[in-house]
Amino acid sequence: MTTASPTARRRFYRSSLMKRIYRSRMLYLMLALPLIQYAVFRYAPLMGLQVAFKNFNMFKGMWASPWVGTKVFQEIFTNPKFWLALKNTVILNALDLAFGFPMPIILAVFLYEMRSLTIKRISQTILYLPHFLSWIIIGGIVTQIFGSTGMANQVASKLLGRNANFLMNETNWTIVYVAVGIWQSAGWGTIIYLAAISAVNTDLYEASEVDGCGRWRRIIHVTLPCIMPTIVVMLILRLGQMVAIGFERPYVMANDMVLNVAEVISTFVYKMGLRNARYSFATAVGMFGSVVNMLFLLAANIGAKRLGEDGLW
Amino acid sequence: MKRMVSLVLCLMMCLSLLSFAAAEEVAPFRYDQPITLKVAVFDRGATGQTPVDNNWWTDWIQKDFGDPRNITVKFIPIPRSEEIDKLNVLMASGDAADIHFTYTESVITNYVQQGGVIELTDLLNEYGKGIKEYLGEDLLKFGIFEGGQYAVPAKRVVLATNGFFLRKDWLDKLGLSVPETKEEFYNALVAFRDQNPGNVENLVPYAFNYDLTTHNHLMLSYISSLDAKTLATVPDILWDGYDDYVLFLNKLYNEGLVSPDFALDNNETHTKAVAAGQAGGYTYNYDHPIRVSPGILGTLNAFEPEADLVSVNAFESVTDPAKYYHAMYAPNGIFNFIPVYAKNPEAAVMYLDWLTDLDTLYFLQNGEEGKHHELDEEGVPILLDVTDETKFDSMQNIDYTLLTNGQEFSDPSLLIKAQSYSYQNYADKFEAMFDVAAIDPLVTNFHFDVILTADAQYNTSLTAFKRELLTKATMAAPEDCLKVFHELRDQYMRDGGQAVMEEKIAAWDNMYK
Repeated sequence: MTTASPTARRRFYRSSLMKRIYRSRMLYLMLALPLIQYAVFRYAPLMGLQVAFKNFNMFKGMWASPWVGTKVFQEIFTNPKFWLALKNTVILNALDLAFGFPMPIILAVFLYEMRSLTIKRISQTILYLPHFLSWIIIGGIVTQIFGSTGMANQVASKLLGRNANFLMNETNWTIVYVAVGIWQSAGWGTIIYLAAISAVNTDLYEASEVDGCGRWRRIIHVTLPCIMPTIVVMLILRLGQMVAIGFERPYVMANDMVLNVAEVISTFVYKMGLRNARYSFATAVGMFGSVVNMLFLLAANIGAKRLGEDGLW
Repeated sequence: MKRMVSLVLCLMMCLSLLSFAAAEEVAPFRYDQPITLKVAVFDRGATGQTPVDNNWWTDWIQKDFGDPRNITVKFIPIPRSEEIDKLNVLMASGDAADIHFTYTESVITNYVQQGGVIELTDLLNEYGKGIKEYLGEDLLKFGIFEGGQYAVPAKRVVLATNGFFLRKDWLDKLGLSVPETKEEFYNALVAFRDQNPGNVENLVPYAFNYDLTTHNHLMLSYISSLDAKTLATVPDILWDGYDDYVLFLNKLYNEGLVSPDFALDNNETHTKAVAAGQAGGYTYNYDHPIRVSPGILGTLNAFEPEADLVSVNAFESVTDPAKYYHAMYAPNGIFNFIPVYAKNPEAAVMYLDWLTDLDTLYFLQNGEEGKHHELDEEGVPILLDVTDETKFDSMQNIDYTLLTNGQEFSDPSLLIKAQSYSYQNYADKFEAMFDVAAIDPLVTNFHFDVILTADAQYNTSLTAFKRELLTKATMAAPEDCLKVFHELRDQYMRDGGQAVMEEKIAAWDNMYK
């Protein structure tokens, strides 16, 4: 576009909205693509939420099924399995947050501090690898290693003098669950922090060196404060997922002995919805989860602003 | 009218005189415009199988059934292990095939309730004469829900369910006879554990997997309330004597007599332990060890030629020590139904009707003479080991013979012999296994002629929960076993078990008032 003279600009802002849109039609056309994508794949499916307030009949379809008000929600809230699944989801996510969230940050800082570029590259590749494994495969590996004839149990039973029972005891299972999650995702999570660290102004590092900082002090006083905004944004996003939980990891790793701690919202929805064909029930559970997630997100954002960070908006 | 009557009479005479020949002479119904018939088929994902929707057999079905009637038969694969999930998705999205099936009654009741299944009485009268004749009224009534014929059940030829197998060669080595009581059974496992007759690493005296509900004969031996009404309406965990069964499982586990990791094994790893010679026994379908696929005994014998698995009959009933109850299947097999989406339901019925034709069945189950089978001196087909693209993907092509579960012969006395041939090298072992499974038969599943709303709602989750509670009670410390079991049992009843039981009792009383 050519640079507009002040008069042309004034004319532009005085002209009607349609005219203005027409003049910038190429920009609006570009904007239309993501908007359409959002409308079709994010907003249109929201209409399916009505199923949560209907007695869904799969042969009549979503629109023709009769309304039942909040009956489905009443059933959910009186279902003890639902509360159990909700509790487990929050607990597992909280543990993931407490132990899994700092891991990529620590790893990223350490990777950045490495002197040998070759070793850095190699360790980065090794750290990324688990991210590309399917949970089905990871589940198989976990059973192989932590099962009663597995390597880990062989060692543990020598030390403890008894079967360590990693996978069929609720506490042990939870530890294995969190640890495997860290192993799988921590390496991949470093990418965003490494990017943030490399954007830190090198002048700061030089200045800290001049001021006599060692490596440790440099990390504490330069690196971490500089990537704090990134950390906060990641944390807020993470908190917005407190009630959402991936399906594969708990589903693959769970077994009947630990269902009391391993049954989470996603597996519960799968079992009720797809297995039992109770679509209204499953939709309502999913919707409830989303609402709670949104509350977490809002609270986290407000909290971040109170602490003087930028937050999401 | 007179002409019609005489024609019908004439036809009937021809039929009765010529039996099969007549069927070939009457040209089948033919559509003017070509139509497509979609038929679901189980995909068992077996190694080396041909594509289930496009192979030598489906080509033959197209030639023999489709072409003369101007119908294109299209097969829709359903993964066997997630059959219900897939079916629910297809039904809800309107992509269902014209013929679907499931073993799970509650799934059909769910569809019937929502108006998703076609009522078949009229269609069967018009296009399904062969079906009615083949199944007979007694079997067809298994497909009746709320007074409507919503499903066509398959005929189950063999009603035997499970077998309990022990390593005969290990017993011999230890000088033990094949157990004939529960105590002897238990002692045999203890001897396996203590003396390790096979001298193997990671010995498992008796292999379990995560589903303990398969040990039905053992369970029945502890039960003292065996009247039909209780068996039909009350969940088994409430039956008198079930506590003792749970205690026995718990004892087996705590004394190290079963797979330590059974709860993690939802993939039949336990059968691999048997095939690898590490296990002293296991429970599975009454003929499982000698089946050609997965070939447990075959694999075992490849390394240990002396190894042998024998089906034991060791669970004497608490009600009468001379009785060894064996749970039986009801005489119906899988339920076939036609979803409301079907554009040509009559074609679907015609297809099912064609499947009941004994010639069709014979070909699908035995293939071509010389290629798939040879005939012995009595005319019983001996199946050959076919490995090219014309091979059977499922035993007796059960995935295509929708109305027949098991080998069908016009002369039932040939059944045992013909069945045994399908085990190839282990043909001589079949009859013994079959006989054990048929001792003191007891039917434990019943059909209700009304829709069981609560059952349809809770069945799937309760089935899963029963597995969970049995696993937990089995793995509990011996002194906690019953406490754990009773607590979970109460929870089972609270989470739907009570509703299902009350509904079933009401339906039962109504049926037999």
